Order: sequence, then structure tokens, then C-alpha cells
Amino acid sequence: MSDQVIQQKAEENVFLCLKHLEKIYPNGEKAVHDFSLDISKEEFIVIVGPSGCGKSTMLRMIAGLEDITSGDIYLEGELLNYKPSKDRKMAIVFQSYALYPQMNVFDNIAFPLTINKYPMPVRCGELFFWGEIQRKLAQDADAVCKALREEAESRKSKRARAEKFALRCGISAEAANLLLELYRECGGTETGADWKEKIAEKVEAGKRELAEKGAAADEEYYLVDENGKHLIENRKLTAFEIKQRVFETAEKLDLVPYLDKLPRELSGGQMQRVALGRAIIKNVPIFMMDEPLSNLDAKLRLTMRSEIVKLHHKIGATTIYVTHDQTEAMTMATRIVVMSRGFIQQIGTPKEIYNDPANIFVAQFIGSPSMNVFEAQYEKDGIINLGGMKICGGEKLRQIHDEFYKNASKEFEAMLENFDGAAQEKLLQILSCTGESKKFGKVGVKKEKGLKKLFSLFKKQPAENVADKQAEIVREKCGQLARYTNSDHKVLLGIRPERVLIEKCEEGKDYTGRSVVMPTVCELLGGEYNIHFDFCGQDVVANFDAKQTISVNDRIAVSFLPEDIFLFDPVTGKRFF
Amino acid sequence: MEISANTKERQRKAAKRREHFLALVLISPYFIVFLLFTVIPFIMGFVFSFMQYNPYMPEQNEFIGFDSFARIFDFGDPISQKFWSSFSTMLVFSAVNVPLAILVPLGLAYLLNMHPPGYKVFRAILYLPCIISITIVGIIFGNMFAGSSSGLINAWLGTEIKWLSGRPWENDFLRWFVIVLANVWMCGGNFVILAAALRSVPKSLNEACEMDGGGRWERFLYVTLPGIKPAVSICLFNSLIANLNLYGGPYVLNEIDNESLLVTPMMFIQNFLLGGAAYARQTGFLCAAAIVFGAVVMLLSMIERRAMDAKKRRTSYAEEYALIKGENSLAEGEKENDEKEA
Amino acid sequence: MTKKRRRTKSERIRRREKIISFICLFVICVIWSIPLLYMLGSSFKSDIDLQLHPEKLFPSSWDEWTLKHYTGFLVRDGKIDKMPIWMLNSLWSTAACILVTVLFDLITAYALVFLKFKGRNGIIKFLFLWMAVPGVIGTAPGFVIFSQIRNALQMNETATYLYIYFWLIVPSGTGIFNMLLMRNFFLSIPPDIVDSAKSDGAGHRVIFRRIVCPLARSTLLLIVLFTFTGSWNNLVWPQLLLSGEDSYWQTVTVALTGYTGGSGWGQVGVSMATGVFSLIPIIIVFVITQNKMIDGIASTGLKG
Repeated sequence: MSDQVIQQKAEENVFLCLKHLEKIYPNGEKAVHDFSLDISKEEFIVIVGPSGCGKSTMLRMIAGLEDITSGDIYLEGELLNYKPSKDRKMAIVFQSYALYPQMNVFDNIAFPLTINKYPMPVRCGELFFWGEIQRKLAQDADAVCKALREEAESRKSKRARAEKFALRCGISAEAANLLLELYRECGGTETGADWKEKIAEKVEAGKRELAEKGAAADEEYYLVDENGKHLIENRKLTAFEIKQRVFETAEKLDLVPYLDKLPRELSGGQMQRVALGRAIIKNVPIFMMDEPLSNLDAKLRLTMRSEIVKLHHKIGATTIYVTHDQTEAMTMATRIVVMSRGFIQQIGTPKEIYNDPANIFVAQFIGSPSMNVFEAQYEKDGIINLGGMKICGGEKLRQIHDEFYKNASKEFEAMLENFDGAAQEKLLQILSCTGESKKFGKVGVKKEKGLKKLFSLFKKQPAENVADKQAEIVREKCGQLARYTNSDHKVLLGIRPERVLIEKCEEGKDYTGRSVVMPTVCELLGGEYNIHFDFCGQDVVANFDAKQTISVNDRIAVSFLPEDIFLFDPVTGKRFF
Repeated sequence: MEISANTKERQRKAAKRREHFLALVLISPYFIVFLLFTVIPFIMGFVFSFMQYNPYMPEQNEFIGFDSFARIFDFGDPISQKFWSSFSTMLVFSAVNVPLAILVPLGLAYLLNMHPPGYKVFRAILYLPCIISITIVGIIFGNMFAGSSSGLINAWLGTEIKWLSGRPWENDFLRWFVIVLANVWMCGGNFVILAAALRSVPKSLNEACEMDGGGRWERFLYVTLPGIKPAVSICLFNSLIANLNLYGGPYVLNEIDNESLLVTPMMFIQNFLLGGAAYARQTGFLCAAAIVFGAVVMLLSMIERRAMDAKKRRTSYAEEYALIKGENSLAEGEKENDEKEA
Repeated sequence: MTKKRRRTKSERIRRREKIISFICLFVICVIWSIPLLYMLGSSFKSDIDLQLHPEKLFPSSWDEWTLKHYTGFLVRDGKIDKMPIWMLNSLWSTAACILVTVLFDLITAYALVFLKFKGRNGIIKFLFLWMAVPGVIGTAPGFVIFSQIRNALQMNETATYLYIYFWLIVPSGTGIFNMLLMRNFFLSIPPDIVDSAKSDGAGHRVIFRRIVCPLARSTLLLIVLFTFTGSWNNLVWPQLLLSGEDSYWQTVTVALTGYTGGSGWGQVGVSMATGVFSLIPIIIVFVITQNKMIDGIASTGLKG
């Protein structure tokens, strides 16, 4: 299939569409810059990034807990910006679980069901319950009769009798009440068959009434219209219906033994499952999770990770998951969104993000142990000089390199000529991935409090020369890029630990072209080593199969293959090779 | 130098004794004073109540057993009648004041919780009256609500309502009103406690309720109220005790001192004691009355405590699940019940 | 850069909330402050103005402002020099109360928390139980014992004065609420600090002086504030003990009851002035420690 068709298919499948979302706080601070993302059904999207990068803000904007400063959210074409949270068909699991402390687990899970109205099929009044009783009698009439006799003759209060009887027979409380009343009317010791007759009578009477009114019902005695479809009304669920659903959910999550406990009696993992249950029971198409695993211990985190993924497969809801742990992102996601300082750095599948990082930030953030990054020299004709070791990239590298720098230069010159808002945004984006955003701190005005406010009104405010500083930086970078295009210059070289070629040095062999070093630390992880050694002035980590033993006293020869290295431009942070 | 086991043992014991001695020295000032000035009078209260006691004429003292108590419950006795009428006054006061002392601060705290500008100033103004002594409040309110046309309120309204001169058959209600008003004005303590409690309700809980579909009312009912329950409990307890022991308010807010008929039991007792030698003969009776009053206060506060801690007991959900989900539930349910009853 | 956009519902709601609550609270606070403003204003009104214009909170014109009432209670006939003496009585007895309470609380709570001895738990349980006991049962017998001892010891004036105040000040140090507050705070000090000090060779005196006391500053402040207001505003017990004595000996709170009730209302101006004057110490304390006092009281509710 051609790319175009894939693109079209993707667009058709778009379930949740986020367009250019931005969040600016009242004090001027911008938390999220231009976030755009298209999410299809049943995807598991993970938004990952360091603390303070805006990912939680993003999640809360989608959920409706924060106001959207600009941009739009569409759910299947419907605009969601101005809809209140409960109408957005989303469920959210908070980091602190947010369980109601005064309710037990059952009530916590049942809460969304108890306070909302749901579209439910309309029941035919009493006929519905007689039908239920009839079906139960068909199963086991004698037991029902015995239970009925016992309960009807017990001394407890009316309600208590009905409840107990309903539980024993597995019917709803209203049906139990009707049956007990009938018992009192007829009194006595009819057998199962007699009861069946009596109930059948009631059912017939009900049916006749229904026919008189001109309504129709299906076999379970829900009202139907002419086409056989159920009539729907918005009503609150009965206690019995709520119980059914809660028990179902509790089964799925293994929470049945804990249904009576209060949240303060539960462990972290159990509380989290209750929070999940509360989200599941709402039956909504979108789940959101805000760092749910960060309060759990390491082992529990592993089990819950797979639990959540399994749940996702079972329920099939679109999930948006926020975390700062890149392992969770890599293992759980269908697609990852890497964020830093409010900007999206890259969107892609875990494989893409790992093997094709778009810039230095993504490369260093994803992967454990993280990528080794060196400062190398780019020499003419595609040769990288890494502390004496030369890696030949060949003609291909030279072409890519020249092309990249030409475009980058042009871009920066355009920015310099017309330094407007869009250009500022671009600059901030670039700074967010090179990590230089701290140059001018937070953009925003500090609010003075109390008396200081009065005084500050009289003082003259020095004009914030942020724009000037930024232009200065653009000028600097432009100059650098111009220089880089035509001469040897610094590049950042990255290589993943498992791609570093290591060979144990033996006597007499020739190791030209490779560097011979001695490891500083050899960490044995069981099946493999993490070998640390010094190279080019920094600590490098490499993986090595533990079939051979290596210790600190051995000498190893290291080399890098040109296919395995990533080259990043130090000025913009972007990757060009 | 080796220290023998014996010496070590002795040293340890000596250290322990020193610690005990130090502890004794440190706690003795407090507890000696406590014993002398609090516990002993308490015990003497019981002793006196069983006696006909006159501090001025000790030769008249004799043990009379439960006579004083009998007199209290003898409703024909005029003094006993006064006592019981003061009792009913106290109960009515409490019934009116305590809910107001919780609801009004709660409403104010709720308004304050919306964080209007000037939050701290509002808080300070609303709190201030509760640290003013009751006599000053009596002076201010007494003059504001003075009966003639030179009282502030009367001047504003252009009337001559006699607010505070409650004769027994008329206008008692107005005096009630002023006393309750003063009480509400001084509710700063509860207000501050409830405001802090409202602020401490975790935001994520409110958000979770919002996401679950809860509107303003549901959020208040299921998140806010349970969240401030401990603070409300404390405020309730404090207000209850303060109102059962009410003394200052009715005492200072009146215009006819000798005939003040809005008397609370504390005032009743205090009046006796202030009477000096004339009432000295009644000391035993007074102590008995104090004991009865004290017992009622304790009872009411314990009832309040129990009421706040009451938990709803319901059938266990886990059991219900077992009943419903068990295959052949009817038969098994029966077996279970049979086993239970057996 | 920020284009105008429709405000989301929650933003509108929040703004509306702030405006409504501001208006409501503003109105309520104005009404709330009327009694105090009335007192302040009336204290400066001349007698004539009080009669003619009772509806005005403040004096009607600049002429009618007078300090006569203030000077009145300092030097007027029949009220010569009484008010300042009352103030003095209240001030020194309150200061003594604070001292006694703080001292008692510090050393007793320290012993109850950091020293192990037999019966420690029993004592604490006893204190908790005693909180539920109504104090009224002990009032009458206490008074009886007080007067009997007094009659037994034939004392001169100064001694009687000191004796009365002794009975006022010393029992106030045994307030259980303050003691438990202090104990709660001591319990919250991490035991590791004390253990490491002990292993460094510190004795109890050093631990007390160098570690525990500096940490306890905020709780101490709280206790001081509670004791100050409690003792200054105390009415029942001082009224009892000071009854029948020279009115020079009274505390402010007790003395000013003379201006209330039926007896005092002819002298509106003077009573207002004395009221304002007697509020000055409390207001000073309030202004200085305002937030801490309020936060402290709030925190007693949160521990709940």
C-alpha cells in the first residue's frame, strides 16, 4: 500500500483528534506548546517526559480538568473544548488514586453508577418481575418455595426478609417483595407446581394489560417498539443492576474479597485496582492514567504493568497514559509521545523512537542504560574523528551532512530576518531539545503580593528584553551553522550501549583502527555485562554477553560501526545521520 | 579495666532510679497543683453533697445522705424549681446556639474557600470577635440594643423596642435573640477551624468526583462533607460544652439584674456562691445540684460523641457475592443456612 | 499573541464565584464590624452627641470629638485611677498565668514523653479521662476551701491580694488541653534526634535546653496565645474569688461587668471608652501574631 493510502486510512480511523493545543497559565507561563496528535481507536498512547515537561497538564486538558488556552479537541468529529468533564466519555485514574475515603470498595466502584442516569431499556412494570420469578421457578421451584416459606415466617422486619430472600434466590429485591406479598395473600403450603401456576396466571394478566395498552415486549419483558428494538429511557440503575455490574468488575480485577474494606485498609496495589475498577465500570471509550504506577514498589510495578496491558486488550478502550518512566513507555505503548519543556519531541512507535530518534533529547531519554554521547569532529569528506579513532561515513555521509546544514542555515536566516512569534516558538522548540532553555528562565511576570504590590506600582518596571535575548541567540546559532557548513566542526556522536563492539584483547593480535582500553567497572547483570570504560574523557557504557568473563584487569578493544552511530548537530540538536 | 557484671547491674539500676527520680521531680509541680486545686475540690464536692454543710457555722455540719439529691428532684421546692427551669433554659439555648455555631461558620468558611481577593483580611475580621471578652461584648451589645431610643438599633429603626429588659411574660424572645446574636458573632474559632478543614480537602478527590459525573451538590455531599467531618465533630463538641456551661452571655446581656429570668445552671450556681453568708447554708445542696448538672453535661457530650462516630452496619458485600455467584446458589445457600443454624 | 477566545464554563464559574463571594463577604464583614466601630466611635462622642444622635456610629461633626471619656476614667471623680489599676491586675496575672502554664507544660510534657517510668501510661490515660469531667462540680467546694483557708490565716491586705491571685493563677497552669498539645508536639519530634544526642553523651538537661525547647517555639507560641486569651477573658472563677473585695483588686473582665446589666447604662461614653481601652492589649497581641494565631487554632481542628 502506498504511503498516501496509509495516511488516508489513518485519518479515517481518527478517534480522538488533538489540534494545536496550548496552555498558558494566568501568570504568562506557557506549559504546553502546539501539541497536535491523532489517536485511533484502541491505541495505547504513552506520553513520556521528565518532570515539568507538561505531560500531566496535557492529560488534564484532554480530560477537561484544565482550561484549554488555544487549540481544539475533537472526539469523532465532535468539539470537546467546552464540554464539562463528565460529558467527555472519559475515565481517569489519578496518581493518588483519589478513592473516596469514607466509602468501602463496593461503593467506590459503584459511585459513577449511583449518581448518573443511564440509557436503559424500559421494563414493563410488575410484569418484568413476574417474568423474572417465572424464570427462576423454572430452574428450581422447590428450593424457591422452601426459601419463601422460611423467610415469610421469620420474625424479622419486612425489608430484612425481602433482602435475605432476594439474596438466597438470586432475584431482585422488588421481585422478592412481590412474591412475599403473594405468599401472604394466599398463605399456606402450596407446592412448587401450584406456585408455577399462580405465577403463570400473573404473567398472563400482565400480558393482557400490555396488549390493551398496545405496547409490545420481548421475552424478558422489556418494552419494544414496532421494529423489535428496545425502548430506551434515561434512568438511574436499580440496586440490583448496580450490584451485578460491580460484581462483574470486581471479578475481573480480583477485588471480591475486599469489597467491604475501606480504602485506608488496602495496600497500594489494591487501591489502584479499585481506581481502575471505578474507571472500567463507566464503560467509556477513553481511559486516561496519570502516572498510576509511581506510588508502587518496584516488583508490584512490574506486575501491574502487564496487568494494565492485559486489561487494555480485554476491554479495548483507547488509553492515554502519562509517565516519566521510559521503561513503562517502551513496554506498554503502541505509540509514544516524547515531551520536553512543553514541546513534543517525537511521536512514533516504540521501535521507531528507539531506532530512529529525531533529536538528541529523545535519544538520551529513551533506552536504559542511556545512549552514550560523545563530542566528535566532523572532517571533510564524511569522516568522523572521535578522539583519534576515525570512522568513515563515506560519500553518503557527506551528502546528507551538506544537505542538512544548508537547510538549517536557510531556516535560521529566515528566522533572523523575520523574528516574530512563530520564530520565537521555533527557537524555544530547538532549545527544548538541546537543553538550553535555562538561558532565560521562565517567561512570565512574578506577581507581587500585598504591600509589595503597592510599591511595585510606583517603581518603574525595567522592560523585559526577552525578545532581544532570543534574537541574540538566533543570531549566534545562525553564525555557527554558517561556519559549520563549510568547515570541520563539532558534532555529537551517539551510540547505544549494545552496539559498541567489544573484543577481549589477546596477546599478539593487531588492533589498529580500534581503541584499546581498560574497563573501570564491570557490572554483571546475570546474562550480560554492563562494562564501563573511559573514552574521550567520559564514562561509556557497553553491553557484553556474559558467556565470556571480563574483569577490571582485562584489556578490551572497542570500535564503532558507521551503521550504528547517530550523528546530532550540536546547534539544533537534531539528528542528521 | 574490666567492670564486673554485678557493678554493671548496679550501675544500670542506679541510672534507672535516677531517671525515675528526675521524672518524679518534673511531673510533681503539675500534679501536685492538679491534685490540690482540681481533684480535691472535686472529691469534696461529692462529700459536701451528702452533707448539710455550712462553712460559716461548722457546728451545723452533719451527714444527711441523699437528702440534697432528693430535694433537687422534689419539684415542689421553689429552689429546685429554679434549678430545673435554668436547666430547660440551658437546653433551649444549646438547641438553638449549637446548630447556628456550626452552620453559620460553615457557610462563611465556604464563601471564604472561593478565594476572593482580600482573603486574609476577611478571615481576620471574622475571627476577631471571638477573642474579645464577654463583658466587653456585653457593654457593646447592651448599648446597641438599649431599650430607649438612644440605643443604636432603636435609633436606626426609629423604634423603642425594649430588647434586653425581658420581663417574664413579655419580650423574653427579644433578649434571647440578642444573646444568640452575640453568640453567633463570636463564632470565630469554629470559623477558622472549618475554613482550614475545607481547604484541606484534597483537590484530586473533587476532580475524581467531577469526572464521575458529580455536579456541585454531589461534590459537596460525597467529598466535602466527609472530608470536614473530623473538624465538624471537634467544633460540635466544643460548642456543645461551651453552651451547656453558658454563663457570660446571659449574665452581661440584661437590663434588670435581680429579676433576670434567663438563667443557666452555671449562673444559678454562681449566684448562690456570690450570695455569701446568706446562702452559705445551702452549700451541700449546691454541690448536689452541681453534680446533677455535671452528670447531665457528661451524658450529653457522650451521646454526641457516639452519634458522630456511629457507623452504618450493613450486610457484607463479599457474602452477597458468594450467595449470588455460587452455582446452584439456591441449594448451596440453603446448605449454608442450615449449617449456620445448626 | 493571545487571541480572544470564549471562556470555558469552568473559568466563568470560577470568576463568578470569586465575585459573589467577595461581595457577600464584604457585606458580611461590614455588618460584622459594626459593633466594634460603634464602640470606637461612641467613645469619642460627647455626652450631648450621644443623646441627640444615637444613630450615628461616629461623632456627627468635628466639634463633637472628645477625649473626655478617656481622661474620665483616668482621673474623674469616683473613678479615679481605677481603670489603669484594673489593667495592671489583668496584665500581671495574665503574664503570671502564661509563665506558670508554659513552665508546667514544658517540664511535665518532657517527662511524660522522654522519660520512662512506671505508671506513665496510666497518668496519660487519666489526663485524657479527666478532660471529660465537668469542672463545675469543683467550683463550689473550691470556693469553700478557698474562703475557709483565708479565714483561718488572718492576713493583711497585700497578703490577701496575693492569696487571691495565687488561687487564680496557679490552677490555670493545670489546663489539660495545653498539656496534651505540648505532649503531642513532643511526640512528633523524631526519636532519632534524641537518641543521637544521647549517644553523644547529652544528659536530659542538655537535650531539654538545646534540642527540645528551640523546636517547640511554635507550639509554645500557640499555648501562650491560648493562655493569654483564656486568662484575660476569664469571668466565672475570678468573679467568684474577687467578690466582696475591694474593687481596686478586680481584673478588667470582672470589673467591667459593672458597666453591663441594668446598672451601667447611663454612662455610655465612659463605658465605651473603657471598653476600647481594655481591648488594646488583646488587639496588640492579635495584630502581632495574627496569622500564627489563626493557623494555630485551625490546626487543632485538623488533627482531629
